[in-house]
Amino acid sequence: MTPPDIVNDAQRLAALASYDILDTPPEPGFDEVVHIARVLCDAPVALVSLVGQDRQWFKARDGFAPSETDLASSVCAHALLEPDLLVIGDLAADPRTLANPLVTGEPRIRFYAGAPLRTPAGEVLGSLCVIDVAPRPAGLSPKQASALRNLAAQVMAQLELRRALADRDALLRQRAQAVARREDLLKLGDDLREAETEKEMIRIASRLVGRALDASRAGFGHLDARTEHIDIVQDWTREGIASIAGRHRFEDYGDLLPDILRGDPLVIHDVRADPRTAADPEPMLALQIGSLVNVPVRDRGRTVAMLIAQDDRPRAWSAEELVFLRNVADRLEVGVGRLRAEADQRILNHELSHRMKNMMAMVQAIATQTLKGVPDRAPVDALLKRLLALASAHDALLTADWTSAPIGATVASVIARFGLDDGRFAMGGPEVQLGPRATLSLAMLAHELATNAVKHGALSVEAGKASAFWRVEQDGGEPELVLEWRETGGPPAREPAARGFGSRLINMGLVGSGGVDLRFLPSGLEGDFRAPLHQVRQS
Amino acid sequence: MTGRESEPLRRSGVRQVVLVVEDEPMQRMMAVDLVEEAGFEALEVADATEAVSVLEARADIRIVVTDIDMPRGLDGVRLAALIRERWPPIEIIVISGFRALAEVRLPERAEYFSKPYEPAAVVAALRRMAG
Repeated sequence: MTPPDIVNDAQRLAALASYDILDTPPEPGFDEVVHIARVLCDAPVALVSLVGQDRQWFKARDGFAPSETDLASSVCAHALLEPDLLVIGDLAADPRTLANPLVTGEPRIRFYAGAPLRTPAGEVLGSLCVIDVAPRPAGLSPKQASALRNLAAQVMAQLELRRALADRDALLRQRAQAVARREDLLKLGDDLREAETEKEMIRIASRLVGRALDASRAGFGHLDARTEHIDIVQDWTREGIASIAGRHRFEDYGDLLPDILRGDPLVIHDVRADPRTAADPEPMLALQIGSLVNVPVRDRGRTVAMLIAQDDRPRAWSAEELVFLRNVADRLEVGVGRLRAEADQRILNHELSHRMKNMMAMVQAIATQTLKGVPDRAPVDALLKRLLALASAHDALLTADWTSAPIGATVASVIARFGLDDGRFAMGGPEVQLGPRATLSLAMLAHELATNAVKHGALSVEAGKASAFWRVEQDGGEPELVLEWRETGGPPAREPAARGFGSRLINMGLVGSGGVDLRFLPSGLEGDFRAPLHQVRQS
Repeated sequence: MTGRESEPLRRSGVRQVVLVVEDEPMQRMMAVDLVEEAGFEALEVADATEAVSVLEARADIRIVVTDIDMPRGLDGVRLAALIRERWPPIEIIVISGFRALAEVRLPERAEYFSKPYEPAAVVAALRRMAG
């Protein structure tokens, strides 16, 4: 006799699947129940039997060797229809079971009593049953029947508890995973900020995606202008999976373009089953792609790039995983955007510097030509030299895109224009970044000091030397930058009689507001220049 | 061509000839003055194409002083490379508003000055090259 239709009821099967119990290892709670049932009913066999679509499988068994049987051998399948216990006093006499192989052949069972395993919603999953090899025309005693019902309720309670625990574990795992993903994203943001090339950014993001999702491959690629190809810049792969970096044509892999053009994430859980790839999944399978997610990066309404995650097996990508990928793609997009902006800024700065230099050259040419006929060359020469000192300061500022200049480079670029022989000028001190204004005033100051030294001071004679050393002083109060100009080996220094522009420039000091101590000594000029460090850095 | 080469100043062996290539007139004027004050005969052109025709027409040019970025035709770097290839004995001075020498590839024996340049330093280079 064929098993009743209820066996294949979709709702019943779904309920059974929701307990995730089939093919799990034995558990003491269930084993104890079948033992008690067997003893109470004084039967050689007791089973917790769960009836699936094509078999009955025993979560617990006492006195019976096989872990499952086909449905033709199942008596329990008939118990599914019963509102209460199914008791068959003689299996060999009952039309439902007389042809059952377990009745007609070994172990020749003759008696069956089963209590249904009914879910709170009313679906019957199977039964708790006792079996005897001798017929029992009187069936179970009322006490035994009652005990069997109660034990079946216990089995259901255990199944419920088991499922609740599994749900809770899954929830905890999900929460832990969500926390880990959030941390991953934060770290990704930090790592991308540190990265200096797009390739490095892609490497960081791909590795993160691959590891966090336990994917087989993760990568990032740009789409060509006609959205026909993707150029995968770089990918991360699990061990044993080959890289697919390089150019790929969408058409070669199925009907992928509509989603990509719309800007929707392309999600394929199984390349063999998905309508977009099922017609010919071979190209995907050849690349060890069983399932995939492509998250688009859009620019002005067009998909320009995609973040890619793949698995070599079919895989149900969860909503949470898709959100994670979207987040990674967004961060990668921001990072790459920053790199592009920086590159644009560099080009702009370069152009600005170029124009600035040409402008300085124009000023130089105009001044030279305008003052060509002036017989007194000294002031003309001073003007042109000061223009060059200004140009040197701009050169120094340029290295940090006009925001600051290192003090050493600023002094060195000014002094270099004097073409002094080795050993005649020494300089040094801690590296301090000067603000734009301090850079210009220090350049002018150094230029005037060196000009005077070459004209009248130590550098006017062969044996003379000059130096500029600086330090940061912090005597309890605010830190100060102190620069010491020293000349030795030249003629005695004399205070200039008239205060010209040159000496006024010198007296303006490091940031244009004084802090200057000049000593005109027989050994040569000594000058100490001080300014609060924060002013030097900011102004 | 703003041609000084038409003037009867070509006393070969007396004054060595320097060709100034610069598209910006005022900067060219300053360079020409500088070259002449240093005791050379100056020829001036506004771009590399004119420079090549002068070089093809005259065999007495000793030094070429060229700007790098010029609007038409070859830029100064390619002009310098061409001169080194076609007229190997000619000395070359390259002047540019570019950021640093590192960004410019120069042929052998060429000297580089950044704008705005120190006139004395360029004069020193001219004299060194003239030997």
